[in-house]
Amino acid sequence: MRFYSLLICVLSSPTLFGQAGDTTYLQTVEVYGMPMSNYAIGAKIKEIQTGDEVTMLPNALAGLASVYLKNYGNGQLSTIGLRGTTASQTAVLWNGININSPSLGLTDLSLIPLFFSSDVAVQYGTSSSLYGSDAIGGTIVLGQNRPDFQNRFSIKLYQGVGSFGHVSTGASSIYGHKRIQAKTSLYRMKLENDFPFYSPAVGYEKIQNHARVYNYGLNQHLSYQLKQNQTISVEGMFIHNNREIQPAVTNNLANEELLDENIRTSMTYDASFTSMDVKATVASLSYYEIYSDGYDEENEVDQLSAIVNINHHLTSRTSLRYGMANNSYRASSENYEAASESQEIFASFRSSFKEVLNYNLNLRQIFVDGELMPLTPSVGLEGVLLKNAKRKLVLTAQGGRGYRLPTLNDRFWQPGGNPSLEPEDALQVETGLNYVISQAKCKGTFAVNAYRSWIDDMIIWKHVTGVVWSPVNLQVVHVNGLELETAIDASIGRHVIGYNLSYAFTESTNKKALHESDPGTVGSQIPYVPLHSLNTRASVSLRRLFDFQTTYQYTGRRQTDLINDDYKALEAFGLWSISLSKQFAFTSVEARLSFSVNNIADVYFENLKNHAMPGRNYLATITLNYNR
Amino acid sequence: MNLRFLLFLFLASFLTITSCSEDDNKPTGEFQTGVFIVNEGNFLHADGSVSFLNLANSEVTSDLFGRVNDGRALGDVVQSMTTDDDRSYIVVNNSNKIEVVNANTFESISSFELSLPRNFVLHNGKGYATEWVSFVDPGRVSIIDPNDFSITSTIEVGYGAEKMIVTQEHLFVSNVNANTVSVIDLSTEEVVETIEVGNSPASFVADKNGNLWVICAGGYNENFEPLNDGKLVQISSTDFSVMKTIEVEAQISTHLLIDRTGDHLFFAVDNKIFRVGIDVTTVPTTPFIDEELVTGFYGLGIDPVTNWVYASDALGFASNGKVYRYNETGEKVDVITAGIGPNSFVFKY
Repeated sequence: MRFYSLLICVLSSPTLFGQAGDTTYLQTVEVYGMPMSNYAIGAKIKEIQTGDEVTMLPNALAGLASVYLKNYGNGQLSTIGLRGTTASQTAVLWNGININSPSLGLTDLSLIPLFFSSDVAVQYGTSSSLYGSDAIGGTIVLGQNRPDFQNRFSIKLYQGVGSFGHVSTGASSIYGHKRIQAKTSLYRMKLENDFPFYSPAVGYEKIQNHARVYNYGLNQHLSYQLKQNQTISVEGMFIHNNREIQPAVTNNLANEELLDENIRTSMTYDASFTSMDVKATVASLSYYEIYSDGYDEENEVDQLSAIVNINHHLTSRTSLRYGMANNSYRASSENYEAASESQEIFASFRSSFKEVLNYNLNLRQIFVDGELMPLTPSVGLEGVLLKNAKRKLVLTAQGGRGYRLPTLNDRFWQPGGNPSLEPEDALQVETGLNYVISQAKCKGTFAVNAYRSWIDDMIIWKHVTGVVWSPVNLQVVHVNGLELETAIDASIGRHVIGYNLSYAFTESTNKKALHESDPGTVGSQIPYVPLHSLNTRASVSLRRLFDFQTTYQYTGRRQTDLINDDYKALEAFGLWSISLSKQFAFTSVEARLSFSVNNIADVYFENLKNHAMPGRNYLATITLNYNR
Repeated sequence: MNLRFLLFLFLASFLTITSCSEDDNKPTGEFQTGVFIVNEGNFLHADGSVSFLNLANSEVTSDLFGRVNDGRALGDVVQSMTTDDDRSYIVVNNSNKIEVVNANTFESISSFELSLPRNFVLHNGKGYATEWVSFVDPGRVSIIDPNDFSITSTIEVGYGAEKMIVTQEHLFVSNVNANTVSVIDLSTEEVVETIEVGNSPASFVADKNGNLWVICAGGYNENFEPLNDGKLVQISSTDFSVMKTIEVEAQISTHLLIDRTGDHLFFAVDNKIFRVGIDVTTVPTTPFIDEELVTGFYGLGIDPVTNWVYASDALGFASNGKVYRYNETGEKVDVITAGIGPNSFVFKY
């Protein structure tokens, strides 16, 4: 079963959004340990509850505004374009550490299991001052619940079975005591992906072949309370993903395969004192990949990161945070061996004026292999324009500089790597209005955000000579965007109904010809950024035991190259899905059964040119929760 | 007209897959006369295409195959095209097939599967296709019956079986990853000789004396640094000996052209095209063409009637490629917009 659509059901499921109707926008997210987003005033943040379903990150993000997922197939490589930016311009953080591959500069979202996280937060907008490199379009933060050191023992079992050979299994258990808390999670997932499709590029119905996916993972958390106010936590994660690379629709006899193994371990010390919080993390990450096309091509990168945050509560309304980070990388591949090291120092200040204005300032400086990189500041504010028992109107604004460091491949690839590349440099300004009406049994939220980005020095690989290509700082992209969101939730007796809709306009424009002889590309829309996209969801929850959800996701026409020829563009499509679920409660066991139908209209669509995605498909899941 | 020259004329028809038939009873169709531009497309995007340049008005029609065949895609990495009066054979490398279309209307006729096919030639009612097979196996030549597109036999050659040129008795195959040329006896369909040439041998041409030339683009050391050892190697079509080598001391194009009289060779070094007489031993220091706007030419072709040189700039595959046209004296005539990654040209008169 198709991941993408699986998500529609996942996204629509009340467990994922907490209880139905909790989807308030601009809500702050508490990241485990250090509440980083306390310094993200003015930023739009979307939080998605995860951890109940065995599914991958793209599925959680598919319903969000201004997110384009470039899926190379169902369960295949998936990269994000957030607010009209490239896959390398979104940071992905795990325990505060950027886990974008240091050699490729991006994360394959299909390798990030949601079963291991308790929530995923997306912070929109340029915020390198908070998150460092890559945070240009936005930042994805994988979150974990803070351990509460209660006496507890729980077990969760999940089983999903769906169309086209989808079998997913997950088990997790939490053990808690007053000084110690442990969580163990395991999952396994298989996709046959033998779905039929009719692509106009082929002209007849074909069965997808060579697109099997098999993956599994293990995650272990252990938190120990040293004192009432001090915790030490360790986490270890292993993910294995083996897949046949889904070929283009026209291709037969494909044989390419990709094996990924990621190991992530971290240790975090967390302490809170009367006027100060301290958090320190050290993490070791390993990215291992074998690409086979008859022969094996092996790539490995090891990363060692350390980050320290100190947060001072200066007054009840004012706080100051500062800290530093160190990252070291070592890459080994057929084409090069390289090492690199970076140091970062950062500081944030937050204050408020009465109850009506909150603002913050952030600053970060990074050094890469001893070289000073651009200083990245940002500023954010939220002004309450109207507030009474029933209504609240908030004006938000933020502006910041962002950067993306050249990847290890960009710098060291043999032949062609360019050690003297500058970071990609971005500036974004944004403003928004957020209006909430709360009645006793009804709540409505309306939000509008408008932003503009100037992205310069984007790294492009250009042909040099023979088979040699080399990266240069070249491309300039400007993005104008508008996001409209509305959510209405109401309760009628013990029933809850909810409706939400988001629309995004994303004009991402190429401002400079990559070649002097090709001026026609100036002013064109960046490939794979739909000008218009829309997501909508309606839900009914009867006594909170029986849920019905329906979603519709519209993705506008997408260009596939910089010249924007009509005949090469990917047509717009809309996906309609429904899901039904029922909860059963026993003494100490809760069970939830769900059934979903995705892409009901059996629409043929592509996220990447000539890569088929499944038509109508089904998924049935059962979740059992045992709590002692 | 001596026999050798006749042989040359025959060989020349296979150069950069050109056809110079004098037949007056050609079937009619929209794309009867003109230049087909083979656009590779982006790897994995299956957006390769063939554009058509109408020589009468210099108008370009993009994506012929899609236009004529209800939006169908040719496939992934369109490598090369060969045409005779009736049919065109379009080699689609990563789709592992050859698509057969009506040469004059571009209507789809059939397709047949091969393993990483590179090039196709026709000779005496048989089709010959080079295949890399995989990235670990030796390459091969498959012999195809053009009546039913069945593979009648396969002949193992060297790693990276690439371009071909055919004489009355032999088929010469360049093995780009083995740095050799395999010679196949057409009657026994066996490899009778393997000739050591230079690094990365690719295109062949035949000169006015009936001798063959193969271009060796140059190799890379273990650190992937260019060896700058490109060369032009002249091979006897009768005893298969290496007659002469012209060292270029640079990485050079995989395309090699020859003018219509068989006197001058053309190849590219980055954005420069050199013109070399077949009787000299060194490359002239001054290029025939030096294009400022281009960093490196990707595809080359020569019009067998006008001797105009066609050279393409793939523009990093991020946009439509450009085709620069130069007249017989090397002056730029115009610049034409092709599809993504134009890599070769087929001239059809």
